[in-house]
Amino acid sequence: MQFRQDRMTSLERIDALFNYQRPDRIPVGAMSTGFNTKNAGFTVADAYEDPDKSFKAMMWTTQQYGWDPIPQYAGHTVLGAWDFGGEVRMPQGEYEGALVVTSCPVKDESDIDSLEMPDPKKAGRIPRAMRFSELQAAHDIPVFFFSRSPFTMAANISGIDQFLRWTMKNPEACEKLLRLSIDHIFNVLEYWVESFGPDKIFAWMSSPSESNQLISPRTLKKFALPYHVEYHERLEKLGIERFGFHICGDQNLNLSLLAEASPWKHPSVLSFGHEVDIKTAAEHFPKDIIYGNIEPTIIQTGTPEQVYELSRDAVEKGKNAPGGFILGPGCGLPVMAPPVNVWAMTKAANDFGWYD
Amino acid sequence: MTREHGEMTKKERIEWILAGKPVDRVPFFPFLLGFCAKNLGLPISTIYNDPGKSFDIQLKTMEQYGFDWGPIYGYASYGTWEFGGEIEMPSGEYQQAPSHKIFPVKSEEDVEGLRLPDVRTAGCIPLAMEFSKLQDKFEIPVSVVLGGNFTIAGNICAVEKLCRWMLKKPEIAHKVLKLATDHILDIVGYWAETFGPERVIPQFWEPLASNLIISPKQFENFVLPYLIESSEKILAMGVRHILYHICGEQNDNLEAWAKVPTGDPGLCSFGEEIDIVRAIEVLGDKNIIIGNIDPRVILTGKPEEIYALCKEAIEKGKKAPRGFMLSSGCEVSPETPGYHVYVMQKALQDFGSYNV
Repeated sequence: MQFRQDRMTSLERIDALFNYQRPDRIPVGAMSTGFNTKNAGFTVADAYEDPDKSFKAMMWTTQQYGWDPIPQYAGHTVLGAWDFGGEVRMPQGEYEGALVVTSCPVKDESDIDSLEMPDPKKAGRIPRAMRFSELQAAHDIPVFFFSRSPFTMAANISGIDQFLRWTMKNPEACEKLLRLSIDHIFNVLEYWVESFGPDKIFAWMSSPSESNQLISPRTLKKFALPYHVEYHERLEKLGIERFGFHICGDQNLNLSLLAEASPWKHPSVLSFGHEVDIKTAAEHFPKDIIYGNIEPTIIQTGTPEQVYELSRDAVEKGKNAPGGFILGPGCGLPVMAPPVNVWAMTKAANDFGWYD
Repeated sequence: MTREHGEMTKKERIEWILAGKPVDRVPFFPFLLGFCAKNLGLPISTIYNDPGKSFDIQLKTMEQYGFDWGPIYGYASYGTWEFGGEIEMPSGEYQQAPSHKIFPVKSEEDVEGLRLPDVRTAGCIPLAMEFSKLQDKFEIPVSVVLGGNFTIAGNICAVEKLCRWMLKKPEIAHKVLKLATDHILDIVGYWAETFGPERVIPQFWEPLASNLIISPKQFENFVLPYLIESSEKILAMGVRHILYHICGEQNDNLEAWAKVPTGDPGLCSFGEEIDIVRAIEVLGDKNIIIGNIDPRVILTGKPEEIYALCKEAIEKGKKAPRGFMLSSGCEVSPETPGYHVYVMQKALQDFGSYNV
């Protein structure tokens, strides 16, 4: 097989999307961390512990698979649990692909009032994430600032089961944790803005704990949505222009609420799991760039033919999305994904993704 | 995505280099088997015990990494099973190919009882034939991969015994070598009859004849005569090209190898122990030279080291009068990081063109 020659660089392609212009072909991206380091011969833990190795692995893997640089990050405020004084451990064994919380900082309600705001420069993995971002800036690629949504971070601080119970029985406790979470996200983000300037930063957020597998649209509206609105008011004040949102899992029942509020600047990149059909996503968010949504389970356990077919289907649905489309996995790329399955996405983008 | 460097298809590139015509760039020759299984998330044994799957997973991996030559079936311990011994399929973390379990010859007396195997039913031959039918169907070179004469003999009686007999009972060593030679002729004859001799490019891997095991004098006395005999008879069948993998440290055997007829052109692949310039000097006037990136460096080296080795090999190899193909010096370990194999492809894209 011969790939067609790109007529745009990756950065030009992404710029085109953000200017509502047609790129040469649909871009391909991946939320990948451990897959990168494994592909480069490092350990999965290196993706989280060693920013230099993680960055190299990301650059190499991106080039190898013809990905465009979106999103590329080393998660740092991922785990409110760690930043707020809980304990986490690195991924171990053959199948673990991400950090594991071993102890949440809030075990019961009485712990909330004694929580201290984390040092935005030193807590958890922030110094490692800063090093990763410095490397992005030095290589003149977008500096991704990754956080979970305030709702997801708050749930990480107390543990999701307890947090969801509090949404019904102790909403004040939820509000306290949500306030701490959003303030912490912005304390860290201000450090990034100080370091790189707002125009270099691409803010990326994910909201797995807001999926309808866990909460109802009513809970989203009451507890999560107000903080999305505040997040974007504050993002705008900081002067950050580019935003991507991984609306993780089954959020079909949340789509109308999110679309109605849509507090983000348009276009933003909206990434969806396989549970949300690409056409449905494009209909709800016509002013935004749709990203997704190949099922990671199939990338890991399916055949290359299945991944190729799913990718073809996604490309054909997404290609004419009014705000543009990026092909990628519906969530983080599994570390044990057979490489040829990952490559099948690239191949499908080459075979079906050109705009001429 | 970057268009593959060059304008020829893989098929054209291989046909032209075998026809002695100039090609657009140095072809990429695969020497990776278990790696392909891992690339698709399958057990390594699939490569050896399931011809259909083996062909498919190699084909997909070769497409992914831009290899020009097609899939092959074979392993270095060939001969043990076919002559009545037992082999063990690879399992566990570190085995990468079938290994000897029970040798057919345990004592001198056993040699007398040895008979030539039935080439239609013995050992892995039915699996290899099924595989070759797929090669034929896909119009890629039909290989029959065997050990060289000495390696098959060493796989019949264990190489340490063969070496002892060369010193103390040479007539027994010759008896085993003669049987190995006759078996080679039987099996290549079977392939030539099935596919037509012009479609068959037999591959003989001769690791046991390396100077780490035998002296150049022993090579002259115990290996060379049998190599010449089988090669002459194979070419007389109408086979046009023979590939010898001159495995390991064989610097002191090279001049002798030049006496072996290999077709027009023949193909000789080398390990990292043989400098490409010397390989060209000694064997390049009659053979396409293939090699020779150290698989240990591909496994554990830095990408920049692999890239530099490939660049050097390509620059040396481009001067080969009958052509050059870039390859690893022996089988790429299944544990090799995917990016390291991609680096070889990249070096070829960057330096392999004959038009710059």
